[in-house]
Amino acid sequence: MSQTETAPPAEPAIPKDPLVHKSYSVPIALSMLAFVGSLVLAVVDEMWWRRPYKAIQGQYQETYSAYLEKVAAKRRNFHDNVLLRVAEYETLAQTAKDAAAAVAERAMDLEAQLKTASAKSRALGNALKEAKSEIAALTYESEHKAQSAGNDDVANAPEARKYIDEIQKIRDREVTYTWTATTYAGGNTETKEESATGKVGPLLEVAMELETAKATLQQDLGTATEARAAAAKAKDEWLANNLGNLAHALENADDATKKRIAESGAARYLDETAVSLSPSALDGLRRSVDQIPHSWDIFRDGAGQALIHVSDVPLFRGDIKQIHIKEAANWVDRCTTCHLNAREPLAVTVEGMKRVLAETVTVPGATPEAGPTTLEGWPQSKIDSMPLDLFKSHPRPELLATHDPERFGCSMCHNGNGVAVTNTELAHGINHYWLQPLYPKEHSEAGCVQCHMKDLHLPMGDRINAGRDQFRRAGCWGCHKYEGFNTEVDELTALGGRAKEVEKAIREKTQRTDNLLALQGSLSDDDAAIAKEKPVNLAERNALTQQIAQLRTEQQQIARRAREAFVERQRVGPNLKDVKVKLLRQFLTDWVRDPRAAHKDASGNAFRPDTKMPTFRWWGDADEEVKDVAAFLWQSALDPQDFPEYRLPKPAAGDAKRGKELFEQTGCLVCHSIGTGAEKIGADYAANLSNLGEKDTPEYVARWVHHPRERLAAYDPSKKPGARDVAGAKKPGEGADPDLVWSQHVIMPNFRLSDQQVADITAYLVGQKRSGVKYEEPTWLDDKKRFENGKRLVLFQGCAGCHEIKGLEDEKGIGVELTPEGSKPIERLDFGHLTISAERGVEPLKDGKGLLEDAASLFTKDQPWYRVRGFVLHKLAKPDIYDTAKYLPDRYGRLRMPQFKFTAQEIRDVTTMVIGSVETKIPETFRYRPDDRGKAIQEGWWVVKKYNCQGCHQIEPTDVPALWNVPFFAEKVDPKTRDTFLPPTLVGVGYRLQPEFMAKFLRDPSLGGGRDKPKSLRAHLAVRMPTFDFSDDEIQKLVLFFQAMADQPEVYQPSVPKPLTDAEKKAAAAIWKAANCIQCHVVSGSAMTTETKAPDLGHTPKRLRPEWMHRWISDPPGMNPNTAMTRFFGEKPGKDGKWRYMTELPELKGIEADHVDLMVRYLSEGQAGK
Amino acid sequence: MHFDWHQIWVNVSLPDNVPIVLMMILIPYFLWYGFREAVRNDRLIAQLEADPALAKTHHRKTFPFHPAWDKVLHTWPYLLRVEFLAAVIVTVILVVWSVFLDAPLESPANPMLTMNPAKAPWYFLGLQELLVYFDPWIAGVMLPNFIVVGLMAIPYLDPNPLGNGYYTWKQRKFAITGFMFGFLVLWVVLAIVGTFIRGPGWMWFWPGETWDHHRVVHEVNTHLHQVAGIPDDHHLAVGVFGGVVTLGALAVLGGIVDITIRKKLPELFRRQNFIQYIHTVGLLVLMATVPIKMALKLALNIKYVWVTPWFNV
Repeated sequence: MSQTETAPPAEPAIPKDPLVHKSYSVPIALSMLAFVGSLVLAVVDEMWWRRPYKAIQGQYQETYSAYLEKVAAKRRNFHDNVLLRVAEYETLAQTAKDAAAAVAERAMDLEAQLKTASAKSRALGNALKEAKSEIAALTYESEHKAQSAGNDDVANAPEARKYIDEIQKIRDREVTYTWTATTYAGGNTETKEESATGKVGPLLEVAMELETAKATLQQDLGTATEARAAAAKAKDEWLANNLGNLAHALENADDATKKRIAESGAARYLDETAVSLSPSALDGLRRSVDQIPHSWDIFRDGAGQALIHVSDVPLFRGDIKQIHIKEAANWVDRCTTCHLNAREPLAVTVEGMKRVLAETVTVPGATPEAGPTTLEGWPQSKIDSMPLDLFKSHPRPELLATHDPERFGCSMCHNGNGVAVTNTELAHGINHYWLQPLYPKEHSEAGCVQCHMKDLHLPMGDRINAGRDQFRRAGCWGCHKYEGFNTEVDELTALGGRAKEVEKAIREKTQRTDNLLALQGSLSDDDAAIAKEKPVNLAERNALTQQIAQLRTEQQQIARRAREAFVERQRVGPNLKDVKVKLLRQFLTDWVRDPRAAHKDASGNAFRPDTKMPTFRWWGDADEEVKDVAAFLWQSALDPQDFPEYRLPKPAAGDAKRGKELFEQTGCLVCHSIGTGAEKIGADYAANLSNLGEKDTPEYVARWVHHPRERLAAYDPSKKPGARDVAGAKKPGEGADPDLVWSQHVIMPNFRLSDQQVADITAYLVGQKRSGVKYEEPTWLDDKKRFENGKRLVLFQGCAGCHEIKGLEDEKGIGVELTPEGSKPIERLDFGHLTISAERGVEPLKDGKGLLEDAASLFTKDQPWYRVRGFVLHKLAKPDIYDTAKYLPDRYGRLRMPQFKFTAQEIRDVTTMVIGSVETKIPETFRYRPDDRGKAIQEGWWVVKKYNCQGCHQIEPTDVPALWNVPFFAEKVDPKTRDTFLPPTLVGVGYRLQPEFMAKFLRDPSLGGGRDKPKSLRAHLAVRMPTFDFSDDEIQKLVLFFQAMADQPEVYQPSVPKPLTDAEKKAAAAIWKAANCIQCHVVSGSAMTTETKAPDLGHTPKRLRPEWMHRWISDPPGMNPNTAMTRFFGEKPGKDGKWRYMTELPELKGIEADHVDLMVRYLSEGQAGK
Repeated sequence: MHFDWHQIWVNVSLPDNVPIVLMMILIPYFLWYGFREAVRNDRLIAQLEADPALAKTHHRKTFPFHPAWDKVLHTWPYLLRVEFLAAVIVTVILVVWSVFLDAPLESPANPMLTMNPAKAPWYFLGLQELLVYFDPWIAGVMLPNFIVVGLMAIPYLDPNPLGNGYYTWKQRKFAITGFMFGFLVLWVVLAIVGTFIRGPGWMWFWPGETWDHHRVVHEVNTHLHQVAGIPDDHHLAVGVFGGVVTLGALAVLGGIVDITIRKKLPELFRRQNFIQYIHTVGLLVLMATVPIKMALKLALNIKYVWVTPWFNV
């Protein structure tokens, strides 16, 4: 400074050094600001941006609180103004009132007495308090002094004398006590002050007596008012029960109440207010929503209430809500942080919330003076701004009831990233690297598969059931292995392996036994050391003999199970060994080329456009390839030359008209359909049989209708493929070799038709032909040169996966196993040249080219589909899609999966099944582990679905059997006639029938009648239960299944009814006659009349369970509302708990027994109709 | 084939690759900045040295310059305040970066499935790229060790006292050239190749080509002895041939480097003692072999020059 002041200005000014003088204040200030800003940014990011649930929870609080307030108001309004005025409730209220009035006098009297006694007892207690205390102290002193002097006899001890005298003095002291006495007489209650005086000693006794009197009075009061309390309880209970069931209350209301309800406008509240919560419970719920507690809140008072609500500041609001399952490797799900209402007790839908929030509701004031309050409806814009979708309840609460979220969390079933709450994409796992993305809504049931792999049918899984059904019916399992499907093949392989091992073991052990035996002879008794070996030798031989016996038993079991498995085995398509006897020569070739488009007539209609068989692709010279395949199939088929029994007799002449009737009324249409276009009738379970005359020979059709499962040539499982069909063997029952199999791998049952009926149906079916279809003479079928190439093609295309072909019996399906398909890494799925399109969201099927049905609707948008789901969807819609843009000169390098005709929904359902088929991360203990009952149901469903039991019967009450849609039967589906003219419902059949009978009936539904008497129990029905040729194991599974479905124990212990006395027998016979049971029932095949509409009762002793019969006879419509049988016995059991026949009969005089029981015993003894 | 901008965007926007994208901008910038300063300083130095009066005094040899200014400045506050500013700015950048870009996590490792392409972190991709050209033992162990040891040795090998504390080109031509070759060519360029050019299957994809997992290339690697016509099973011949070629090439390269230094950098040669000189030449030769080997592989598909049962070069 001094320098600048003193220095002469003449010196040239030196410029300032920027390194020294340049100020950095501004950059440093700015950078510090930026620094602080970045910290603020970090805090905001951490506390707000990455915690979107804070805003959501605020919105939830606002929305749900408003919603609950309105719902509670409406609910209260309904409760007060409508529900309490329902007639039933009013009756109950009146009863309670009457009951109260009836006991009023006595109760008042007793209550007055009780009051007096209490008052007196209390007064006396107070008056004696001091004296009692003194006596106690003196007693102690006297005892203590006597004891100190070593004298146990206190009363006479001199040391205690003084105190005992003192006590006596007190006991003689006089006290006065005053109490209020209440008396009741003639409806008036009066009170009066009373007092008494007495000596302490006697008064102590009085006090004790008073206590006893009080207890007695209390008891008397209870007894007297018992009826009153019961009536009040009934009233309250009704209210509690019906709060959750307003609809029921409305239904039972009388007209006046209904009118009142209509006037009050309450009916429209029913939809969203029909909840199991009372108005006060709703208020409670609202309070809990209003006060979302938060650990941020600080300074709590004594009651734990926060004094400073930091959570009112949005930045500090909200909590992560998580489900933590320790046992499942610390599984954590935080889904409910945003899906706040998923588990709340109130079922809320988006529509319901929208409606309620928009409404204006008037709440009556607490007092009339306060006047009503109005809750304004929200403006639409506010409603739209709320993420209502997040606030709805789980749409299937019944699923949550069996899968408690507290135990299973959310993401075990739904997938997604249960831990993430940062944003929707992360939380839902919609990220390339997250291996378990949330299942999209249309596939939400995919999550069931991982634990319920073996359940073919899930009670709540509509879509997954549909997916598996499609998988089963389309025959996907012919080529693709999948857990539970087509298990017989693997089982047979395993059994074959084990059989070889067992055989080898037996051989070795026999050899060893022989050696030991030889050795035994050479052991001499002379040498003591050698003689010792003898018992050792014997012991080993004995052990070996036992082991060999065990092995032989196992051998037998293996053989038995192998035969069963061959009977159970099913193939997707028909047996192609039969083509030479079955098909007309000219039919085969065009069908192989493209089944859906084969043999078009002049107007372009194909022979069977709705066939299940998919279309295969042929490359190169398609004509030649198809001819090669046809030639191979034809030449490999069994030749009648080699198998004399293959020469089928010409069927007898039949009447096509009668055949048509039989075909339509016997039950064929439950599985098959006939006719095309609008004329098509029947179901799609099996083939459409239109125009069969163009395809099949009459002999084969006749044979097939006669008994489809019977093989033409016997089948020897132990032989090598190609040599399994053996000629000349006898048939079952004719001394056939038990190792031979006589059952085709089909499921079509035998209808036990007579020869004439068979001829009629054959005539009808074979008579169906279109006109003007040109068939070329297939000269190539016998061209031996085509055989080898045909075989190569058949092997490549995988025909043997679905069809039985000679020499290829053991060929496995050509597809990949799909059991773990859903958890395949995406890199392992070959998208071919579409990988880039899939990743970048280019939709190759957008133009819909080559797609069938409405499959194009799945592929309208360009969106990334590089996921297992996208792979499967595209593959199912167009199986050759991943060959796109490939240069494939070698036809054997191409994709082989044929083109199926699936609808969009079917594709979606099968995709659901496939993407859900994963190697699960869920611990073993969390998966479904059925008990015996569950296992019986699980296994039973496979049999039930396999044989299409649901085509005729209801297994579950909601089933709609295909039979109901067959024209002839459709008119009888009316609930009044359903049970009379259609096959019986099987709901609860396990409780109805004895298991032994069930097994017997399943084995032969004609119960020995055969073709002559094909119908047994319900001969009046047009349909008949066919013979399915179940294996023994299947019959067992079915019986256990029906028992389990009816909640019956596995082992049935029949109750033995008391034998009827002569008088009882007479009485029962009288009822039998009077009730005219024989009008509707028949007994042991007695003549049917036009009135016959019920089962044959001749089988009852072995057939029906007595406990079921008792329930049934006492109230048939109560057990089955569709039955034609009415009540014959009093509406309710009499006062002694016994049922009585409705009319007085002379024979019934003096019969003590329950009349229903009488009939049960009568029928169980097989007396009916005798 | 259209130019695939999508692929470019995918590669550039990958959170993994953000640093290397930034580096591709920052390195040219700092290179330009350094050279600009260096040229100005060099000019000043020339000016000062041309003026005998000024040359005698020990002047500040950097811009800004004034003869009257202090020759030296204190670290505090003149240096530290700038460093503080830089530290704050870097902190701000890191905080903002970490707020907006999450850690690029991928799927859990699957022992049954190797990712494709399997890439090292971006800063190691240069080394990974070297694996294409060298035996893993050389690329993964030897070369990194030479890099570390070489960097540590520089202070002991550098005989040039000039250029401390200011940018200059003229006074440190040799050091800067060596650095630019070693860092830019052998490290940065290789890392960029590894990041943006190497796609699935570690195949070479030019920018704009789609990284197609299904791409198949026909590439046959040959060894030098095969080119020379020596059969593979003549192990001794193969080994001796490779040894002679390799050691010969190293010797020739050493000779070239030696002659070049003697001729073009007499100062360096004069100032270094024998041990320093040997090491300098050795490291330079090694640096030169890397691009030669790469050229052999890329242009002629020659994988190894020297094949022995124990190691390959």
